[in-house]
Amino acid sequence: MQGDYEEITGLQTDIIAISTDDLSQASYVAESLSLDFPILYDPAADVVRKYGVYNLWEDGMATPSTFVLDRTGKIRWQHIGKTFYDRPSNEEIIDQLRKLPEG
Amino acid sequence: MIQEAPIAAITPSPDHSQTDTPSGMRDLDVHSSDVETTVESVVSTPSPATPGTTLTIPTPTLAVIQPDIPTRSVVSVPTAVVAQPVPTPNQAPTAPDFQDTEAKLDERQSVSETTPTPKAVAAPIEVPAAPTDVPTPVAVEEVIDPEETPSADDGAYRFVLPSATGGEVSLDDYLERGNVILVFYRAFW
Repeated sequence: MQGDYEEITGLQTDIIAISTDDLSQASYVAESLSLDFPILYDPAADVVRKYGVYNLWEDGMATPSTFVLDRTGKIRWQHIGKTFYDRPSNEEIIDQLRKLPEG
Repeated sequence: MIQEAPIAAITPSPDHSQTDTPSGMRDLDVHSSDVETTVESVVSTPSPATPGTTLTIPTPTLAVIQPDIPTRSVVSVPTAVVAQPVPTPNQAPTAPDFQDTEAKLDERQSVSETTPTPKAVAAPIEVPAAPTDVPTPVAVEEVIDPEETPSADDGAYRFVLPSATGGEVSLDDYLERGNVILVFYRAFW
């Protein structure tokens, strides 16, 4: 997603990643990929639960998923992974962003 | 079953091998857990070589003592294991025990008797069974129904979480600037 970051920010959009991984690992990912967007740490999976994507695979972890929120904080689109490799393409996400009303 | 071959070859006195071996063989057929137990006792019994050492170091000498027979048996035994290559290396170990005993025929016999070790192969078999990390899509699909997701139509839950690079991040702060793509991920996803 980092690759299309410029295009995404051009659509007045920021990215926030949330992980339940332990902080050291999350930090490692953040630094090794030199991401421009924040990686947040939700060890208790509280936020994960709020978004209804906790433990859907019954593995006690956050289920990989993507939400598109408009500027009013409304969820306009979501993709919840069915398998480990089930994730939306950047194009797919960008298409969704284009559908959002201009701010 | 297949173990019979190597044992017979190694053990001149069928009586012994049959006396001791059968129990092990039965175990193997019945439950791998039983086999494990059997194997452990067996492994510890033969003193000649350390089980651990033996396992990792297949010895050529063995070939001399035990012609091709053991090798073949090894191959055929794991057949049940098919996809799991692990067993093969473990089988070889059985042989090394004997090489040490080269001078001592008697000892070798006792070893072979007590060493229905080929069953050691059975142990590794069950271990590999565990690694199954593929998530079950079925159950997920049921849960995934968008309407089940609490926040689907409502405003997204506003959170403040610590950032991996330090400090805290508030969703609201980001929303003030525009849209937000929220990604829940796990390592290396």
